[in-house]
Amino acid sequence: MQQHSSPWVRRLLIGLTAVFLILFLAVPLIFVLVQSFSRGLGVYLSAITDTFALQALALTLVTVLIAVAVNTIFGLFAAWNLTRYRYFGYKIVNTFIDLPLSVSPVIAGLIFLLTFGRASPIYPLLTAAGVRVVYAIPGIVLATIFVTFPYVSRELIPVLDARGTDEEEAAALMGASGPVIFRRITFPHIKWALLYGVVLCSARALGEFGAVAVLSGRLRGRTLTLPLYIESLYQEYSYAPAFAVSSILVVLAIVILVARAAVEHKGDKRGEL
Amino acid sequence: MAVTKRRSPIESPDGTKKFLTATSVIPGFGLSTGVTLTMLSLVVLIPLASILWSSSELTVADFFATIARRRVLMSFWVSIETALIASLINMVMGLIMAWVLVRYEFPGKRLLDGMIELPFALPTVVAGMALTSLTANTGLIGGALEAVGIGAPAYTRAGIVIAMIFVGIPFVARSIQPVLEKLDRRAEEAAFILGASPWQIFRRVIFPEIRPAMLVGFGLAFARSLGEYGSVVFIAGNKPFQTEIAPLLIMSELQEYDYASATAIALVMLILAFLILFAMNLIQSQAAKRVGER
Amino acid sequence: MYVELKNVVKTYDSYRAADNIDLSIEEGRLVALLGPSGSGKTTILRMIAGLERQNSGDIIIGGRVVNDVPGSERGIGFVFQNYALFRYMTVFDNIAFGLEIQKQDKQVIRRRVEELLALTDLTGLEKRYPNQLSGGQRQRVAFARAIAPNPRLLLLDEPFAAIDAKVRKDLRAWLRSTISSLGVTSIFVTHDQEEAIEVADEIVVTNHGRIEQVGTPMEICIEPKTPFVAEFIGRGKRVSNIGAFRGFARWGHMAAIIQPEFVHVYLPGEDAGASGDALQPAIVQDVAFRGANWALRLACCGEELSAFRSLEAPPVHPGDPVRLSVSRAQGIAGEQTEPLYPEGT
Repeated sequence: MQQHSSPWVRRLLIGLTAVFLILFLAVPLIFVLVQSFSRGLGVYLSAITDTFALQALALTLVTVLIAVAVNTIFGLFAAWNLTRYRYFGYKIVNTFIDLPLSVSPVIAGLIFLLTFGRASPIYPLLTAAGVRVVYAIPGIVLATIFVTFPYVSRELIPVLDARGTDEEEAAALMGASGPVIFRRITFPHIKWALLYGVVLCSARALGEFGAVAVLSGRLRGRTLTLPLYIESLYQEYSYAPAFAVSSILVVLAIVILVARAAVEHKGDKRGEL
Repeated sequence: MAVTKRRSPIESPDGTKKFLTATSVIPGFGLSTGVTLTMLSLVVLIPLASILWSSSELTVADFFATIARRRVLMSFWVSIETALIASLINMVMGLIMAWVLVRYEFPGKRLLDGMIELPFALPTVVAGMALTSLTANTGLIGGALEAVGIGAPAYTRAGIVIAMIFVGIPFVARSIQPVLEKLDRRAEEAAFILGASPWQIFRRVIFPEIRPAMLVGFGLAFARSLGEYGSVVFIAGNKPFQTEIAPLLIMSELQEYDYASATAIALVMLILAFLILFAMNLIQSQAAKRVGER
Repeated sequence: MYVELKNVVKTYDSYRAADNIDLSIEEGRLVALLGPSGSGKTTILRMIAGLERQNSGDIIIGGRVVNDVPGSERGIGFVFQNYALFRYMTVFDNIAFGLEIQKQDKQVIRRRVEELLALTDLTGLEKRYPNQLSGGQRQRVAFARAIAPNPRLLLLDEPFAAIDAKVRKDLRAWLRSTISSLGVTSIFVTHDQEEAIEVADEIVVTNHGRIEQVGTPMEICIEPKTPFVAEFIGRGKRVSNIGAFRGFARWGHMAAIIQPEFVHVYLPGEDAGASGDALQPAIVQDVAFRGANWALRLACCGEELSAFRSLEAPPVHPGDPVRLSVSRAQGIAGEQTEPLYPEGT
């Protein structure tokens, strides 16, 4: 079909897109990298090898790992459940799963504070058992799981919905069990979507700030995740170190975006009939 | 929205739906329902219910007294105003970006397409710091704007809008793109042959198809901007009555251990989030119905 | 009786997809479930397979009530409408899947798959994936996959719907001869009457969730028992007053269906043979070339009729006056029909 919009409209729209994306996305990204080296390589290296920075990185990675594992298990079961069966209430379940997306991270932190904190009816039980949730690592992990809860299931559901159920029905009629159907029929269809969901979930978990800020006791070396540690440096006017540590996250973000593009490309090439 | 027409038992008329029973030969219904509902309850529903439970300890009068404080009302107003402006800008730009990335070929297209998702991947704290430093009066952009007499955006509502634009960029474009890609070009060709101008084709043939996706993207961006904390906290300046948004106010109430007040504000925001979610579901189901009727 | 349905009812909301279905199918037969879309034929098939569950009534397969037996234990093979081939498995793995589930010996599986590849003329394609096959090849893979575990009952949902017209003809003949050589009881769903007539030993005509008629293709065509079957099979026209046609006067003002095969058309002066005196005037409304003959639309006695005319006969044109005789009609009496022949023949 001929391109029926005029070349001027075309140039204007492409120009607008490029300027908008460069101004809002590329400039801040480059700015972080430039700032992190503004005091020289020495300051940069000492900032990112600081014990507190490394401890924050370790806590962040552990949190991400747990959140991604939990949400992947949930995502697989929920996607299977919501696309393979129709039962009364499945739409409500579907809506509730997406709820964390529209809840402010600060509120996400608040609800765990209310559930496990001093005001909670189960607080005495927790104290008796010696479990600290609020202002401790379990709280940080829980809040991160909440915030990233729908990320895997949301990637899988559209893929499974579009695929229909007849391949699984055919296998079930031949007597295949649930695990066999999942492993041999369903999984090959969703593996790229699953990987993409895991990547997105990791990215979001890595950067979560608001929810974690509520629940962290902000003890350096104990309950500071990387984003919280960066914030504390910034509030102390240690700008160069703050940007230096940020550059780790910027590099991770770029790696995630490239991985995402690769996954999408792979998924496009494979298996579409 | 994409509605796949495919014969499967779950798309047959819905008469056989019963509470927690499904007629399907595919095994695993009990297990998958059990795991889904249990995890959903533990992670989302029970913690969220704690807000309702906590606010039930407030009397109605207390609740309204908390909410009706001028500082609280102003924070809601600042939140809604800035989120609305940012999401409207993102809606227009999202529409343009989706159009450009689906319909045009040009060098660097893949790079721009990949960049759109940066706000999902980049931690909000980092974005907030970078945007603040850039738009402060000592920064690159803020300095330039100050020099031409507009004033540096950082620590004003304009700064909040900038941070919210950043976090909301992917939503509208990513919502419209797949719909635009799947659009049947033959309808446009038919309109073209009937003598419609490019603008008429867009307005009458294309736009009605992508409008539901655009509104859903807008809703997602709006909800996200309304709740945003990490990137706004740096750039806002957090002056009560002027640049204090509701999530910031909740945080400062929490730091003063005023749980009751924080809970009341949170409840209002949750209700707002529910309304947005409900509106989006309505738009989606109506769009699906319209597609299904053809 | 190998398959029996007794008083089977299936409803979706207020819609009755199967309304008190009673049906018996003998062992070794190839049966077509024929009807317009929404007539309940696919629902019947899916209930026999265990893909849907009836609200009430019994389904019996091989003398066993299978209401509570899962589809996988009913001894059936199922060919899905879009074949539902496993897209991420090769042709070989698709066919072998059911045997692997039964944990058969590797050697046995290999031999069985090779035998089926030969039977379905797919030898050499076993390493291909479904998206590398043509429509006809996919259909044969689906067939091979369904019969690999030696089911006693084969069910096929619109098996030819997704195939080109030319290939469809060949596949029909192939399917018919293959199924009869295997001797497996088979039921297939179709909305195409020609397909049902060509392939099936026995046709079950469904409409609005009910069975209208069960019979051999010949019986269905020659003696449709209900007005619906009479109209659905063939290209007949319904007339409101059969008494207006010469030789049918004694049936008076009865409605009837007249198939084009039984309307004979002659130009003025053309030799009408024995039916010479039964002729009455008509006007040609429309002529359509159908490849093998001409299809005519005629106006006669205030009714509309259709007829075929041989390509070898002198051509007729719209507006031409002609003469015609009707050698047979299907009179409609309430829910029943009866064959009517003109007097004096």
